[in-house]
Amino acid sequence: MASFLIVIHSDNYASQSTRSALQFAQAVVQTGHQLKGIFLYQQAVNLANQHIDIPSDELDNRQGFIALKQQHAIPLLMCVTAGEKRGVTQSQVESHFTIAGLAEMAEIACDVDRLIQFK
Amino acid sequence: MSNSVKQIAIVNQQSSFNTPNGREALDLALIFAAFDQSVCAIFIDDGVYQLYQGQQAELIKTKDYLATMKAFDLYDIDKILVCEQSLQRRGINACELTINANVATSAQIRAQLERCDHVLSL
Repeated sequence: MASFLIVIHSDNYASQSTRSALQFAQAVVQTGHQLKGIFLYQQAVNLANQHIDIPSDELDNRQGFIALKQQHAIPLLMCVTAGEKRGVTQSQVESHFTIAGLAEMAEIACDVDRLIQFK
Repeated sequence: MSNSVKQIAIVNQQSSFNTPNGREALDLALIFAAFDQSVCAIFIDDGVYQLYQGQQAELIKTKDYLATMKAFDLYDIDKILVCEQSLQRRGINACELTINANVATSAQIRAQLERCDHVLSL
């Protein structure tokens, strides 16, 4: 069993890589590995913005991440500095996401076998 | 946190000011160094421009984060690799770099990356 940290950099809507990250995260837990956290950095902070509203006939990445958190207690962390620069602050953050600093990301990274970026 | 020190590579691929990547990669390098991890800063492709001397951020009304790289010393980030081929392609000499970096071949950079536990590229 290996332990993982996923760091997402890309904008949720503008790139496929957020969905790739979700599918990778699902595969990690389904195959019995340990996922210690998902960290949103750079443009990926958009994923935590509660005002983003995806039409019901389109796949909603955020719901997928929230399900992972609910079913497997995986922390969903959003970088506070990256968020502030992009207008995603405390009042906009969807309640399943936790505002965190780079230090929290680094702490998890120090503890896992694999750090996987999605850009 | 695990007791063993991780080897972390921060790979810079973008020029200084066109995207926030250089600045946000620097933040990553410094935070891992602050956690006493072994950080290696690598500059390839347009990332080599981040070390090019004489850039004047104020002319384009941008914050000059490049000066912060001089703090690599303070943070014990002493493994700094710059891609030789990327420098050549852009007509930059090693003597024109702002910090004391090792010019490395792509094979040397690849070998360094293989020694690292985590690689973050921006």
